[in-house]
Amino acid sequence: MHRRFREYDPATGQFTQEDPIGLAGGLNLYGFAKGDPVNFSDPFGLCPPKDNNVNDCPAESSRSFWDRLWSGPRYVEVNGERYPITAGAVPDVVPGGGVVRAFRSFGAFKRAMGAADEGMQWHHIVEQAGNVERFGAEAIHSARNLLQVPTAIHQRISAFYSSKQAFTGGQTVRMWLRNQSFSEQMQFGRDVLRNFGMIP
Amino acid sequence: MMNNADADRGDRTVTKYAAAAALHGKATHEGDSDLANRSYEELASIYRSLRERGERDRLLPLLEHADPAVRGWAAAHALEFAPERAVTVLTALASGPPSPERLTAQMTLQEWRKGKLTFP
Repeated sequence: MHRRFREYDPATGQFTQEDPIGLAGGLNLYGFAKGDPVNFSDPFGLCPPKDNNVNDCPAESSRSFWDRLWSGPRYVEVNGERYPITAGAVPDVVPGGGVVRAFRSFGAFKRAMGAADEGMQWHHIVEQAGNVERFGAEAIHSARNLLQVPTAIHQRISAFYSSKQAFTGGQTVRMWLRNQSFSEQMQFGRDVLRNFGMIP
Repeated sequence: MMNNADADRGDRTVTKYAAAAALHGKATHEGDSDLANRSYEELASIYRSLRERGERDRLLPLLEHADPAVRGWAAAHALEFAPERAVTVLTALASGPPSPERLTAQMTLQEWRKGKLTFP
């Protein structure tokens, strides 16, 4: 797996070259984001940020440094559809790797990715409620499953999940979804976004 | 044989059904789940009473109602007793412009085809 500054060997979870930050990146010069490439992201192989906060990195590997260097895609792909990442957020799709960031809590996601823009809210495509236990926090609090939507649309969608509809057999939409698979819920969540005006 | 009083009562029932369906659609668009759920319960209650009286056919004119939410609700219930006409209406809604009514029509047809759709 090629990362912008170093080669990463998935078999060992290590980089094959020395970290160009040197000792500022920690004692393990070949480490990859604390050895956990799923839960931490280091798009340029420069810094494993503490608590996923890139502001904890040395200045030369800070978010603004990454942004200046980054010329790759600023989107995540879910089932072939592209969802934009807010300007200023750390890129999720790394060169040639397709690694998407995932977190153990929504708070950790927001600390790493930042608060939603003014007038926007982070929206889980597959809802949090009841699903963290079923599918794991990393599946729910993943850049694959989160995108920013306008607050008004987020509230309308939340209300839709709390409502009873013709197809839900007397349950709320949220209850009707409860026993469906992750991929079924993802498909439904994308359909909801499309029909509430988020995806053309 | 239906007398004038029965016919008037039936007309009022259909009018109430259409009003509840329109209100459910409006509440869904505006994100008011409490109002949507109250409207849902009223629709279910009216539909049960129409079934008990053997008057479900009274909903069929609503399949041509101007409000897509009303057409969608009448079609969702008509799947139980007039499926061909109901499928025609739901298929048209399901291929219309993006909207909560389109999503509901798509999911209603999907659940019905799977044999999972239940009626009040």
